[in-house]
Amino acid sequence: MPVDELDVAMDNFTKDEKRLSSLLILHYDPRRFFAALAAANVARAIYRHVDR
Amino acid sequence: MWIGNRRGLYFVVHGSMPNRIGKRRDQVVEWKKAFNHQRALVEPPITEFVEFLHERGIGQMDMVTVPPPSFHDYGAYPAQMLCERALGALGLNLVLLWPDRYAKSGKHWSANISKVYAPPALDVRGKTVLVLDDICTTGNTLVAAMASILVAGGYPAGCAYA
Repeated sequence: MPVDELDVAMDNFTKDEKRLSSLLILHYDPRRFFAALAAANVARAIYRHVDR
Repeated sequence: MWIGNRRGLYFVVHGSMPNRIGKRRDQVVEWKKAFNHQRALVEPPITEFVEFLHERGIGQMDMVTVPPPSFHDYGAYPAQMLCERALGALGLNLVLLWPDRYAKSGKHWSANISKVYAPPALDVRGKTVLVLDDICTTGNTLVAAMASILVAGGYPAGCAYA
């Protein structure tokens, strides 16, 4: 996944969220992009203390 | 192409920064307007959309759904039609998680984003769910749908066509 796409995506994220989401997305196979996106959404919710 | 806003991560295939600008987007908006006025118009091409979904691993998601319509009915819902056509090309099925219409209003937003839409009708706990949509303007529809799934225990991702 191109880095500029990630930068745009995480424009409004805090430093920790950026780091975690980048890790989740970049360390996945691009062919599992949607799964990585889902994982990043859940990680973000945990960071923001969304009650699951 | 770009992803996300401050409330969640999603992807717009024919998106641009700033959004609300783009040839493909105009095409889809025109098609939806014609659809609402019951005029015939050629549907926008979805080849690139289908390729994108396939390359990024849509087949690994447990469910693929669309946000609930605010004033259309299922069966005559442009987003559903577009997504069903794209999924049909990949041999996948669309799952409808919200059986009723839901309109978003300021009242809902001020309360809780996860309560804009009702909880999903099916059990999504521990399942990866992809929310597909035809148009993304502010991302609120996708984010609200994702929040509803998130609170129900699912793993949501979002993707829009233009």
